[in-house]
Amino acid sequence: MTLIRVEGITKRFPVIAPPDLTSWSARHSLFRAGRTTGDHFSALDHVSFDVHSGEVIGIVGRNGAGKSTLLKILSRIIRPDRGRVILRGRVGSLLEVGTGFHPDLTGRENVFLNAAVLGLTEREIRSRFDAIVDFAGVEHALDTPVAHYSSGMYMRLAFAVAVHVNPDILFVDEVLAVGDAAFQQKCLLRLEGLGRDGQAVLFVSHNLAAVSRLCGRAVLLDQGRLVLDGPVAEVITAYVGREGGRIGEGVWPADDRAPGDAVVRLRRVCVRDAQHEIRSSVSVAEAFEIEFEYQVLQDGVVLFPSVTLVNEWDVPVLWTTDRTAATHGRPCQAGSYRARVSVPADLLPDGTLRVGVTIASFDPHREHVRVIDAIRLVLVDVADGTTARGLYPGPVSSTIRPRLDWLISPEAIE
Amino acid sequence: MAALATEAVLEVIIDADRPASLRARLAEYRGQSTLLKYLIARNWKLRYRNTAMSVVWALAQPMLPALMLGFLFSSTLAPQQVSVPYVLFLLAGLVPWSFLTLAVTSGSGAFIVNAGILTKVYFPRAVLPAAAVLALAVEFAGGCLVLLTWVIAAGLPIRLEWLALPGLFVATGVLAFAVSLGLGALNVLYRDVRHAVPFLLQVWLYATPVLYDSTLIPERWHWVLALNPMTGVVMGFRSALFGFPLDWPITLISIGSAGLTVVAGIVTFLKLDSALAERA
Repeated sequence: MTLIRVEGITKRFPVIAPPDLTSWSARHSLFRAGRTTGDHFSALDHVSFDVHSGEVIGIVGRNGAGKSTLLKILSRIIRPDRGRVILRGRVGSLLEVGTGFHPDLTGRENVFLNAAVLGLTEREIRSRFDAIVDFAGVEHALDTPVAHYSSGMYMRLAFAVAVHVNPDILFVDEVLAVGDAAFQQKCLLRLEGLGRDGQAVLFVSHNLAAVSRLCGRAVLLDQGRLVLDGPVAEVITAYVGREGGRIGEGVWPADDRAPGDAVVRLRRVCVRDAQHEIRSSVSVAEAFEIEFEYQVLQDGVVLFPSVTLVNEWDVPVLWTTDRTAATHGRPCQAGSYRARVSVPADLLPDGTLRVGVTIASFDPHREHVRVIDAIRLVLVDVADGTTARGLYPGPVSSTIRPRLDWLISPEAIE
Repeated sequence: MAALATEAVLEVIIDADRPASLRARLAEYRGQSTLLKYLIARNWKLRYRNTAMSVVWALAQPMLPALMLGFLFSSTLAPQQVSVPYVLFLLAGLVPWSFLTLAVTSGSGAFIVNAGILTKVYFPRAVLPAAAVLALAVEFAGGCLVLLTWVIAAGLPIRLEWLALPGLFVATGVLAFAVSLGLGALNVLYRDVRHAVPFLLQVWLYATPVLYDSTLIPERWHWVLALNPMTGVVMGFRSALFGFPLDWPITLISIGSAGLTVVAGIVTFLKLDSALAERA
């Protein structure tokens, strides 16, 4: 069943300054608000797609691509200039966490106000109140003004209200960028659950890992146009590919602006696939290489290059160093070097990883190069049975996800 | 899914070429009572947070000016032909007037003050000024009770005309709401409105027989009083409270202009409604 049908939505915003009563044209257009003529840019340009019940759809695209405008039109906050939208069912929109929250009201008062703003009736709020408080874990502070809450508590309470709205159609805009890692996981699970219950979810996020995990299908917007609509892995790969070197490759100029010191400077970091193509996103079932180039400016220092991978929850996933016989632990000659680290297939889970490079010497301990976020790498998991998750359809969450040997055989147990 | 198929599915169509019908737009206000209730509660809590004497402040607005002006003008502006203390005469005008002032000030700013909600969630927009006006109606009702108590304490007769007071109360509320609605919507497009509202209210005060009686104004200026939608309200309050004879031509024309003002406010809002979130 089609829950959302979007037909040729176009939205233009005027570029001109707000109207000035001293000009005749503005006075003339006083009652024609929203139909201003003159210069404008298209925030959305003939966007069409359908969403069926049970689908969780990711909307990706860089800043200004029209993602938020699209959600605002679908949420009926602003009107399109052209086109038509049909929504079947009760709509909930989470364009922000804690809409209407007021610092001087208590947690309890804010829950009621926020839930009412999100469209719940008195009876619904009362019946869900305990679940909301339980989800947020703020029972002890319910009658304290939220101004005294830690930002984590505030966000947990706000999000708890939001995920208990339970609409047929839910629009979510970047709200997962809040809270600590554990709470973000909890929210992801909750959103995942919504999709399985037959609701339609439209999810805007810059967190590609969250999109690839939550959504089966994604839509790529670029300058207001829908450029791709398809399986999430395909869309994310296309999006990351469009972003080009900015994510897949980091290059620094050959002078002292490059990270490093008088001993060694980093020049370039990139990720290559098995065909030696530079990539910014690879499948979790694919081996890849992290490659970096550095310039040693001083003879005779024993250098230890190492690579780290940190996931989007700030967890260090992996640390590795060079230990090959030829170079390991030996003084290094001045000159340019290229290092390659092979990461095997089926080791890491899906997600966005920050690739870091450190080049250190010991005795005395000095970190000549320390870049913790040289490039980003997106690992994509497709639930088609070819990856380490096999055909397992549920949510999986772990720091690594290697393909290990299992043996299950029928056995008589007394 | 089976459950969804058997239930009547709520279907919303957003069509750029065909704006929602007036009937559909008004129908959306059904079921907004929860939001209205919690917005009113919020307005109240925020207005009187950390106050030790909230009730006193709630009632002080019409009382203090009445005492002060009563002291100043009792010899010059007090109507001679009636046997009502000037302070009470003043209060009968200031109670509805101070409600109108506070309600229009707060209501016309409601879209801007709540821009954070307006731009993030959809709900029928008139709920915001309605909550602002209704939150102040509580003080207005309190003011009316104090007024009645004072009238009784002053030894004035209890009258059958008092039964008209609830009607006048509602009429004042509707007028304040409609003016807030129209000015509030204009305020989003032209922030000048916020600066103009205090002046408008000040001029409006002097054009309304609040401090003086209409009999003090020469006949040839009576049309100004008549065109003023608040004249009917203030004269109505005095007439109901003290049994003053009504100047029917002025009252009827004023009721007419009040009706037109209400229509103008609502129409202005309905015209600008869909653009509010974009500009707020």
